[in-house]
Amino acid sequence: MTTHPSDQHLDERDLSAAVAGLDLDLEDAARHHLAACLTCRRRVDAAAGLIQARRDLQRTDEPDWQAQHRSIMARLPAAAPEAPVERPNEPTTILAWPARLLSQRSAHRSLLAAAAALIVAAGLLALTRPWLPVRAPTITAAEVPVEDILAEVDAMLAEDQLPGFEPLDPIVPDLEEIQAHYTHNGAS
Amino acid sequence: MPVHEAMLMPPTRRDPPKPGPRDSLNDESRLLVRSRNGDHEAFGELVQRNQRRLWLVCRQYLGADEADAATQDSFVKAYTNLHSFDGCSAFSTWLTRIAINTCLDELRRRKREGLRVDPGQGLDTEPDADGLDPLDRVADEGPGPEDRAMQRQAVARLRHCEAGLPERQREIFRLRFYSELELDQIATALGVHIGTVKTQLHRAVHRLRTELGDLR
Repeated sequence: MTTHPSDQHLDERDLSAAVAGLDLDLEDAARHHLAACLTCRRRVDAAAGLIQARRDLQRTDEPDWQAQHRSIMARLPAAAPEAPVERPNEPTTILAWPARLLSQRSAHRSLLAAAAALIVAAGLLALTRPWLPVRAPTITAAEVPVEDILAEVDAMLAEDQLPGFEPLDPIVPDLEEIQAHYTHNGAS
Repeated sequence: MPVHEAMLMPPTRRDPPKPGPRDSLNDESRLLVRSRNGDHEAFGELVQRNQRRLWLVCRQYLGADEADAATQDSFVKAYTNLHSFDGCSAFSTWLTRIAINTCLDELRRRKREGLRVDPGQGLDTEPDADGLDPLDRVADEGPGPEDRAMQRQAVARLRHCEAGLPERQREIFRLRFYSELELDQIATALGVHIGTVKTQLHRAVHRLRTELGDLR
């Protein structure tokens, strides 16, 4: 806004600013003049009064506010605009649990299917890995049939007729008799 | 009280009923939280607080006949999109923006369908259903028939001059004086700087005063 000596009337632009409610943007001198000058205030009031008359005219066709309020409320969707905060014992919570359960079940099914596919893939991979050495199966001590083996060994020994294992002839004299025999013959 | 000060006072005539003082649960943020959870009663409170302001905004764009429907549409849109309100601006400003967009969509639809879009839209340019000039309803308390006739003439000229304003100036002028929005609310609702609002408003008023001549 222009610099304004306080003893002069406002120019047209300053008057327009005052009408527009922008008088706080005027310089101090202009605002002081406007507050004190009846002529300038009348010019501002004349324009402002005309706008006010125009505004009042628009108020003549305001609707029935209560009826408008009822219409708006009737048009609101029943569902919340976004997921409501979950509270126990609420009808919405009770009605919602089957859907959640179905959702959980389908999630579990997906997990199970994935696990099964993983196992099958691992098995196939194990069967088709020729680069790995074949290892002899490891047998634990509990799996060895010790009794059967011993019985089999006994049977084999029983049938075996090795001479070194033949019993001594019962008519053969004992060691003292043999020694005496050799002594009498003068061999020792 | 000077008239230009009275213009800035909140209107007192035919206001929608305002809620009385209640407990602290009724403040706006709590009402918003409850509304987001589907509480229609809470949203109804917000509607009651803002419906007149929104109607006055829609009135400037679409006229009295369509303003009611546009106001209702705006509130329904606001309810269904409550989750997108981030609180960066006041709730009333957010609502105003929705209302303006709703009105602009309607104007675009009319234009697409070849319907007439009058730059003086939103003004009382036609007689009422009872055949009376709406200007007859104004300033009945005036000093006499001569003065009333002069005022009718002045208002008619103001109406005519308004229609000739550039679109942005006319929009800001109406939102400020007829919808009673504050300057910062206009700036936020239109997505422009407040300095732009002040400049356009000053230009609009100055142009109107110049064109009105001795009637201003």
